[in-house]
Amino acid sequence: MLRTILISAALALTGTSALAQETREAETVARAYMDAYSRVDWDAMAALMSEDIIFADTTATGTDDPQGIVTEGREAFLEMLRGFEAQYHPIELGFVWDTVFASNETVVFIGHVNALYPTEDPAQHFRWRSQQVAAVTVRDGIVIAHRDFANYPGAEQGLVPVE
Amino acid sequence: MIRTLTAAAALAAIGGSALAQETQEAVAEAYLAAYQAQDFAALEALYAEDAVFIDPTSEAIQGIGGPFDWTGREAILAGIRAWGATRLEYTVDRSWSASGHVVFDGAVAAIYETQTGTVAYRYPIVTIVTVGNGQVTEHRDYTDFSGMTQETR
Repeated sequence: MLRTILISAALALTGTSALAQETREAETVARAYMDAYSRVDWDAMAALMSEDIIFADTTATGTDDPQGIVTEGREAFLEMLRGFEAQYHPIELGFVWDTVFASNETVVFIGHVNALYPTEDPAQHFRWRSQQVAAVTVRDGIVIAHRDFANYPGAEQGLVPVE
Repeated sequence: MIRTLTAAAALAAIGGSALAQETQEAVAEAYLAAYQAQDFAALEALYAEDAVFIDPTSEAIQGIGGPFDWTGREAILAGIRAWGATRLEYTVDRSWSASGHVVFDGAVAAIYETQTGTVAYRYPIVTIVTVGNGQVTEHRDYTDFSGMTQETR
């Protein structure tokens, strides 16, 4: 009986340790992925995406997407990102996270997006700032799911001097 | 964050009117109050029949009775009842809404009354309540289980 208890305890500890290691690795990958997203570096993001990654932003509703945006697969997601870049020419998304935590395979980012876009005046940028929550799920070292929630109605926007 | 410059205009045109947003926020607030009170009659009235309750961060966490991934009003109510909590207490640091999703960012304490006193297990959490047709269609939590603190009151 004692042996059973000891084995159970050892397995529990091993399991906990393995989970903690997996969580740490997930956070490292998710931070690198979101840093690339912040820099609008789609190639760096793509290197960390699984082939069948699911991306969703159901807060991003529009006339073409009344239910928000959901893409399935790396190519579909990249096509959307490239379309966004071609339309708006973002300089950066400029995420600033107040809180980041990881629980098993999911890493949660809470903070703001501070997107910058060029204007006709080289001395000014257009800034779009909003609250944002992002949840990134990592498995086997790559991102399998990415979900964004942004406060589109409450966004602050305007011109800012180029720094 | 990939819809920005046109978002304000689009949201104004599509169900994002101030009135709709206020109604959605009111439903979400009423829901969170019922959820905190563990008022199952009120929760039953607020959940859509095919509502979803999900916490992706609960999947592999031991000792919490998870994972929390239930579909359907009855399954959700049974799942929450099984926690046996006396009540939940939210501390909301930030709240905002977009397109029917109401985001509550803060912490939640699960309160248990025991023979030796009251115990509170407090977790940092983001709760996202999705409202459609005046009912809750999804409750989505992202919980920092490793950040749990325990308090005896």
